[in-house]
Amino acid sequence: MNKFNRLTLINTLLLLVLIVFGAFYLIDNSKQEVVYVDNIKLFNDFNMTKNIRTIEEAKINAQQRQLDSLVILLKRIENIESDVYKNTQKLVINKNEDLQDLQENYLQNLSSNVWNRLNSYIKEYAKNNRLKIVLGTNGNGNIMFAQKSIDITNQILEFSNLKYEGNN
Amino acid sequence: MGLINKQTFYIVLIITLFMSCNNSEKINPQPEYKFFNLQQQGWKSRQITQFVNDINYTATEVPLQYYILKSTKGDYHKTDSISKVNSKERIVELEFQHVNQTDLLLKDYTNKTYEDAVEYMAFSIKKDFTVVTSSNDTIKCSGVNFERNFKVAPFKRLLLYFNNINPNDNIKLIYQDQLFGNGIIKFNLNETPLKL
Repeated sequence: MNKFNRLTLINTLLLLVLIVFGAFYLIDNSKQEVVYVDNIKLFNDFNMTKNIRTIEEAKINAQQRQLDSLVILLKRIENIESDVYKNTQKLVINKNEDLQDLQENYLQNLSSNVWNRLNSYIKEYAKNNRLKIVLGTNGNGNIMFAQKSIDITNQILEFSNLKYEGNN
Repeated sequence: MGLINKQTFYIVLIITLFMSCNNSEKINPQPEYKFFNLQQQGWKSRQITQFVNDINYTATEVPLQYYILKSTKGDYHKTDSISKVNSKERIVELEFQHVNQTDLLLKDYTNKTYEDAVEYMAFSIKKDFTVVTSSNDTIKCSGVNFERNFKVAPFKRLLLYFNNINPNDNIKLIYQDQLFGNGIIKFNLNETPLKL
């Protein structure tokens, strides 16, 4: 009888330990496996975006001012058959093309460079924090609803800015 | 008798003073110890690595003495004096290495011919570097030296020189990567390269 009681006690204890371990394992595994970030906020608040915007927009503004001055100059020339008018007109066309190229390159480079960098930082963050899926929301209906508790935009933003600023 | 004793005392005192003045030059702290310490630490300060688009960019601030020693051939006193005169200069070593250890100057990575890429790395790349000091000064790169290794090593190494930086300031290297097109890359070298 004593032996039977002891065995029951040991078995109950073992079972309890197993349940506790199992519960911890499940909690640990289910802990934020799937998270999401707000793509628009992440892109706009990332320091690299701000830096590129400041640098490139200064270039575009300078080019725009040159073009504006040429257009004003062109309007002042009365004789539209003169060589001066034709040359200035050519210059305006060239400057306008340059400006358009600059704007196109700026938009293309901004997007590709920033997302390239962000993707590598997100990958590193997910690896460090053992995340299985990081979803990106951009308000166009990819993700219709997600709990605020699994929104890690601020954490990723902080991590990305820290890495971008050259802190290892 | 008392007069002779006094005279002897003054003579001994003067000789002692002269002797001590004479020895003052020899009591200098030995700079050999400083250099020994630097050697033990591998002549390097904190390394910052940025991994962008399969390329590792590693920036290291190197103490001036490391390069001065090469020309002074181990004369520690001379090295110490020269480094003090040039204390406002900074040298940063930058290494580029692809994860697959392939040659980074190939057309696949730079969109330039190999020759043009080497030329860019040796000269034009200077304008892509600036340093922002902890006193918020922006300093342009004053010179660059491309250490060619003719494909013996898998990395490309640049030495960057910056002038007029307060010796006590920390620096942040900013690289606008035009060669591989990876945008702005920053290296926060906020640890002084070993205080002497």
